[in-house]
Amino acid sequence: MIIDIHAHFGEWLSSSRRDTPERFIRVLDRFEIDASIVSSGRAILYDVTSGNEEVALLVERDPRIYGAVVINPHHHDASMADLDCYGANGRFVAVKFHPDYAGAPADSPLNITLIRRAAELGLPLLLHTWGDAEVESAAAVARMLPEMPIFLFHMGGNAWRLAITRAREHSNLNLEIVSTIPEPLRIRQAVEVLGAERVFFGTDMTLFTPAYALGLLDAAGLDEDDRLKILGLNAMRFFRVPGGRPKETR
Amino acid sequence: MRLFDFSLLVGTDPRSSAVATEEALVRYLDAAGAGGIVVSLAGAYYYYEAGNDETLKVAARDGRLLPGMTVDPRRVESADVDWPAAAKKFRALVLFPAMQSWHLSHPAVAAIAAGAGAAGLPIVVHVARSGDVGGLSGLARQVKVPVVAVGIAYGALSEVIAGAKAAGNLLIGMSLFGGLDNLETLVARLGADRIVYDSGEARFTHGPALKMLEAAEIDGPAREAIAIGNARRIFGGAL
Repeated sequence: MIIDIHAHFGEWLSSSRRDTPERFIRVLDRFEIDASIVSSGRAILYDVTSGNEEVALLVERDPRIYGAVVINPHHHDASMADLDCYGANGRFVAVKFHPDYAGAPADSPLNITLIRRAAELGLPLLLHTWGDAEVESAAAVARMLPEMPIFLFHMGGNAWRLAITRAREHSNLNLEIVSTIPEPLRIRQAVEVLGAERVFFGTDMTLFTPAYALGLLDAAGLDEDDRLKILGLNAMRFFRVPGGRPKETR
Repeated sequence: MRLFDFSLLVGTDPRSSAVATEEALVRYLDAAGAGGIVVSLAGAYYYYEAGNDETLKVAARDGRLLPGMTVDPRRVESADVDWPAAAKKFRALVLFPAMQSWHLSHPAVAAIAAGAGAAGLPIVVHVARSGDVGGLSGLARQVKVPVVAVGIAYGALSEVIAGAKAAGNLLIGMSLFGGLDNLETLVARLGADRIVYDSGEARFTHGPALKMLEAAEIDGPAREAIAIGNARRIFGGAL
């Protein structure tokens, strides 16, 4: 069972091909991904409303595809409207925030109002993190909303050691593995400190090929039980995906 | 699949608590069936002559490792290298502009590249910043030896394609081209004979690079060329 909690749909500078639903589905087939939680590249890079709408259409194309509602505090009302619209849609299973592209920290006051609404809707928070400041902002959100599951994408990037430390301090912080700084001890150390139950598989597709994250996991040298937890079993505890627990028991 | 890795690193990285041990490197060579060009990080971060001494010792202990010599163009004595003598001890010149914060337009670099090129040493350059590959393409056009760019991230895809088209002796390391179709795009636009395998082991893990090469939708001869074939063309068939 492979559940990718970090996927995107949209256009990227580094690609030479247009992203299409057919292409996305083909990647799921090729890498045998059972469920993919997708946020919109358009919503992250450009416009929340039209981007989230694209993903709402995409999730209708294949039962393996689930949405994450992208929020941006600079477009607060539009983000709140999308949370209310898609949060009640069973195919959207998380909220996504990218502080770097939005130009605002995760714990900025306006953003917190959006995250609180997502928490009320039972949506876990998917948070891009790269560097000390973004990890600390994530930890601040974790302190404010201790019941909300929060997933630090990229494990904090170059601040992965700090991410592990903060996740040890806050039981609602979890780590997702994909990163362009493929340090050899990163994943293994996260598993040793936090337990494999707190570590999650993400690919960053379609920006990245799933082969990259699969290679990271292969090279971590984990035992098969831990590997299976990270690949998908852990995600079933938090997200409304096949085998995952239903919303009302959250 | 046998591998030749154009980026093997041992030593300490002051920007991380990571220590790239020789033992970890040997484990990788054993497990992956790899060989490659090794350089001590002491040469990148501290003093190149000290690093070169360490590199020679590491390579002498394992025949799969070809010693890469490095020079820091910021040091005055980099102009005094005896390149014919260096070419008897080392198999490549390896430069670290991003790690050492100098640009490829540094005037000393052209003389270094000319010296290494005249001595027949292939040149491997660890690049990271936007514009590095463009500068390297210009440098490659001034020498006749192969020039290999390693450690390039996916965001530089268009720069890499344009730079490699402008310099026929410029080869591209694939380790950080993690974009969904990056490797396929590079092979289609440049040809597999222009792409090489690199990983950064033991400073970084080879996992992503190896998995991307295995999973790429390219034909067998192209995969073989990237894995080791192009390196054989450069260093000889006995790799």
